[in-house]
Amino acid sequence: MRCAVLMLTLGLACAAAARADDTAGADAAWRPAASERLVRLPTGYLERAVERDFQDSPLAAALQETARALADRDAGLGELQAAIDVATSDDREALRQRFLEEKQAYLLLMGRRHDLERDRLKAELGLYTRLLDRAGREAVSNDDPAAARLAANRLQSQRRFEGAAAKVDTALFGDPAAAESRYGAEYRRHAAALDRLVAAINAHPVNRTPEIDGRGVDRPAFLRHLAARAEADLALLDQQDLVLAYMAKLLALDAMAMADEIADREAAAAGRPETRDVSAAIGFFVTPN
Amino acid sequence: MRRLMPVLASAWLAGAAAAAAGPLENLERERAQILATLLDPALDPDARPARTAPALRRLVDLERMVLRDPRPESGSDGVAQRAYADYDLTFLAHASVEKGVTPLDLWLERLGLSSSRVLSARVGRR
Repeated sequence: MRCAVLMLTLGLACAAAARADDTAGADAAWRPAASERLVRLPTGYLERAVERDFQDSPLAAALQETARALADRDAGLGELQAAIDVATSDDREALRQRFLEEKQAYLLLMGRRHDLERDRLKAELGLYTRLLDRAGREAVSNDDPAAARLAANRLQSQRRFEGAAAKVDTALFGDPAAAESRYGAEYRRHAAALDRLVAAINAHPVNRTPEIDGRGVDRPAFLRHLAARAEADLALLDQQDLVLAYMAKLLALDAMAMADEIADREAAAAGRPETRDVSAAIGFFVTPN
Repeated sequence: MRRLMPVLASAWLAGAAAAAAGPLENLERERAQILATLLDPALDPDARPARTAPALRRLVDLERMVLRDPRPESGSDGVAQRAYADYDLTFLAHASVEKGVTPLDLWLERLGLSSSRVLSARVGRR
């Protein structure tokens, strides 16, 4: 009877662990938004900002809690396994049953961790996809031919102006009587400050261009790289789910084997008569009375 | 008072529009004023440079403000499209110094009016 309860419990637990539990982590969520702030952040800092946003979420807290519990279970399983190896036959059975129960709890916890991790990766993938869409929309709006023509004319005008500015200064402000205008003097002063600031911004480590395989990439390429990485992690998580399912199956088989073993031993202890072959009774019949 | 409200609202909106005028609009206003002074027949030749020199320096500043304006112009903005399509007319002060001619000569040239064409023109009735 004890065996039947053990098997039923483990069987149900393993099935539950093998299946992804849709409700797990429902209260622990992370909903990152493709906010204006995120869009304006330097590309190299984007990944860190997303990670920081995740760390502040209830989902991260739930994942950390599950990781702690898993570490405890892991240590407990190791200790139990070592104890079984040195246990006497009386304690051994109880320890083996405890080991099975602990493995069942470990699988349940690992299943929950996978669910939480999947929630995180899906949210991350969704965020990078939305940011990519947004970058794409901005690129399309930049494709406006009128705006492109204006930008080209403007650039050409600015280049022509830069080439002639000194000549104009000499011609119009070269005369000592013609003092430089307030705008001109202030602009020069601010421009020098701006140049220094721009140089500092460009050299700032946070503002560094992100690199993939040692090569600098632009924002859309980096976003595509992050999205592909999240996709790969999701695929690997699916594979880990399969590992978990096989572990659950093995656990169920162990439980069945242990239940059989206990049932056999209980039957032997009860001294139930062995069912003998009919030929073994032949001696009762061939000898005359 | 009720009849006055729409008038006040319109005046306020007009004021807001004037306040929102960008450097390009201010540049065009200043350039028109200089050209009007240069073409003013009431001014004698000696008084004209004294009137236009400070205005020309102001025009240089305004042209630089437009050229250095970091705000992206809208592609559908016809004023900006026309302005940047013709550097010589829009940035008259810089273009005239660059080409070594007076702003008025450059402006007339861009409109297709040269001294020789004016001199060869005949007075007639249409």
